[in-house]
Amino acid sequence: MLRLVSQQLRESAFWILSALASGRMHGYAVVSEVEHASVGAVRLKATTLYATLERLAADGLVEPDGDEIVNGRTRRYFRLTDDGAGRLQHETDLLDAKVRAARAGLSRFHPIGAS
Amino acid sequence: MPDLESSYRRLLRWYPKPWRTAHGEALLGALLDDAEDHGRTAIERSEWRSFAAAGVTARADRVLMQPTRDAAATVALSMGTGASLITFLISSWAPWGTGPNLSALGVTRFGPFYDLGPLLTVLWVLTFVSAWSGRWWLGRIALLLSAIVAVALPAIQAMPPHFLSPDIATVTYSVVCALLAALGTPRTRLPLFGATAGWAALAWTFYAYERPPGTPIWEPTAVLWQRPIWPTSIVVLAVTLVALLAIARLWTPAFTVLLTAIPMGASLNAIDIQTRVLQYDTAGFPINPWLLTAPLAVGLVTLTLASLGVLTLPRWHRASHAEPNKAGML
Repeated sequence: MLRLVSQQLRESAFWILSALASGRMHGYAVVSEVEHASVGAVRLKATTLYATLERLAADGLVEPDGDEIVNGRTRRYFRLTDDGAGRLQHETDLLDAKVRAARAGLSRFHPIGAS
Repeated sequence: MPDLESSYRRLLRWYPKPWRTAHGEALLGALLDDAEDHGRTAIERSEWRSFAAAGVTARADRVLMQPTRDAAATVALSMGTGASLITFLISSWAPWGTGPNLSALGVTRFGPFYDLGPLLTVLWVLTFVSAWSGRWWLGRIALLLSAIVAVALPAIQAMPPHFLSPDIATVTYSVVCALLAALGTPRTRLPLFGATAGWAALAWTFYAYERPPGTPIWEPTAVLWQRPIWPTSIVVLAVTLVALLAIARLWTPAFTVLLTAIPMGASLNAIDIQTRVLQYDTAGFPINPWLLTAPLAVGLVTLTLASLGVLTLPRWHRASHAEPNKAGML
């Protein structure tokens, strides 16, 4: 259902911003970092990565930070903008609040049948 | 690797040329790095699908900005589904036996249905469920299928055994809604449900207003368009709202309303054409429907120019998007 929730960062965008928070990265490094950080749960396709990066750049949350040619292949670097860091912080605070609320609820939960 | 690179370069053709010029080499580099790391020497089927989807989206982005397309897709999906459910109830479902003897009218029942409308209803419902479950690729296929089927329905009626087709305005409405919905991705859940119920209620109101009390439930789909003042008023209201939103420089809502007024505007034009071609009595339009087409066309051209970057609208670039919309943070 995550894909249908409006206005919140989509999952791919959240993970890309999270990866870029640690510093500038080229496209494939972002894919690798996201896979590592999510413990293999999220594997971005390159097409999804670039579509999302383009959208994030249009919204001013990331920006291109130069190209390098390595082994004849282009590597385009991206970095998080101040707006992007702010948006990621907001999203993280929101998730944090949700987790705290869920933990508080679970700590008071009594399984049915428990004496 | 050279073979794989050539294959990826071919797949890149899904994207528009300006996109390829700006990002093609960077995307290719990432793809080849990934293939090398995973020992991949040939393109996988899922990659072909993702290129097709991303390339078509990139092409659509060049004509209509994504936030507008997505919002319009949400509304169009609710419009199409809502109206389709009501036409199924009042015009298609035969087992209640409230309809006419079709053979006397020279047409044939379509199984347990009076008309061919259920072919569209089932595709709209499939689309709705696809959006709800996050499988929008399936919804897009269903939408494109429904557009093709809808266009074919009047021709099917003309051929033996002459199954009854929904009327031209309903067919037009369904096709335009389907194309509009396929352009974007619905991104809401409860509002989508609410809007669908709202459009269904509106269609039912049109129907209930026309149906004399105590008469059988069945009516042809044309009953929804029998009194053109209803859809005309909705289009006029929409155009007025677009103007007000444009004055307030709220471009995404303005263009969303504009796009979602097009199905009804197109249906009114279809009725007008049919009336003229078949030399029916006047359809009773309160305003010539082509007069309504003019502001819609101007709006559409403005939207296209703005999306292409030819025209800069004040506050078009959504700097405020850095701040999330708190309404969405439930």
